Amino acid sequence: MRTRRTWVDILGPVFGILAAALTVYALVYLLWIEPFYRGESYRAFSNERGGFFLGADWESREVTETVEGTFSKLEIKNIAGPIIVEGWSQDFVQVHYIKQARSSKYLEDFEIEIEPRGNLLSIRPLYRKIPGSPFGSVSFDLKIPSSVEEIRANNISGRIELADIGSGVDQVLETVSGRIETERSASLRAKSISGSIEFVSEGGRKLDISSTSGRVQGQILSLDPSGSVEIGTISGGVDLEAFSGLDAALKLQSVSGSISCDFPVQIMEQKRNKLEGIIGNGSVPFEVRTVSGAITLSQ
Amino acid sequence: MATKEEKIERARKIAMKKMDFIRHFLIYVVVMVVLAIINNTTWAGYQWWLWPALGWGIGIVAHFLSAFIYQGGSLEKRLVQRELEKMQDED
Repeated sequence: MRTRRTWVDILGPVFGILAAALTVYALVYLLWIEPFYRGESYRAFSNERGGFFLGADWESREVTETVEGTFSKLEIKNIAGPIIVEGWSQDFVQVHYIKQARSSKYLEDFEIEIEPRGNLLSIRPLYRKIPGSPFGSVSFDLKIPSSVEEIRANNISGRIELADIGSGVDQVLETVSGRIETERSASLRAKSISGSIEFVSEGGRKLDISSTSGRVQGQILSLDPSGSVEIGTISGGVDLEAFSGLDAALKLQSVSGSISCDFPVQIMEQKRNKLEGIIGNGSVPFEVRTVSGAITLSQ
Repeated sequence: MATKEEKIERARKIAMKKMDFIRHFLIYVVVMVVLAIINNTTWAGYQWWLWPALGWGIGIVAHFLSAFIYQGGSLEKRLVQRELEKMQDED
């Protein structure tokens, strides 16, 4: 007796063949048409700065430009790659960058915009919004004069490092993935989703530091008496060193971690993972919160 | 010799395997279409959605083979039969 085929018996093999075809196509596309490497053994190497890896087939271009003018504000944005800003004694800005992309054609298809707008110097990579749009990374290395009073750096995937910056420079530093390091700042707002934050602050009015996953380590050399300090992490400890004349209304809280404080505190509330009190006259609100990690405040 | 109940049970299992595969495949297609749309509307260059398509696709093909090609039982049956024959020879 001949059995009648059901729709499942017909569709099943058709679907099976379609799935196999898509799987083979994916395999060919991923390993041959757009592979992570093309025939040669994949080798990664880092440039002089370290930690910035390139595939064997990647093209790179190194450019150094100088921008004349007096700027009090610097705004720099990047998508992938580090941002390094250093102070220097010259009175112009030097922008040194290394563009990297999968091919020389891709390298041509994105540009670095360096745009002076009055007292503001704005720097960012510009990607064309076209189908098959190329993506490349940029490693920025800037030298800035002492006329700069405010620095805003925004990155997606890459670290932000500031060194040899003069005193009294307000900074806003944000990255999604990467560490933030600043050797000296006045007011500082630093945010990182995944990455540690290291800072030294001197005479700042406001310190607003937050990291989702990463340690915060900082030195507070002096604080404006009308200022405030707010530091928070989700996963990571907070290690702070402050000047001996600190005058703060202290609120340290950790959900699962210990708290230690070297300063003489007039205690209002103290638990294993919470400390509220006054140091000096308590003029500066000083709040540190972490979910998982210890908090240390030392002199 | 399998009883009628055993045959019905086996047929039911095979039918369920086939239906499971159809459902699995349809979910795979829907998810991949969504990923492909996200990929191509946000970034039309590299087709990253093919990575999940490849990994999951291997699973889908394996599911297809188990539901439609190797329907279970035939190899085990032959092995059991062979063992029984060996035992009879020893007796």
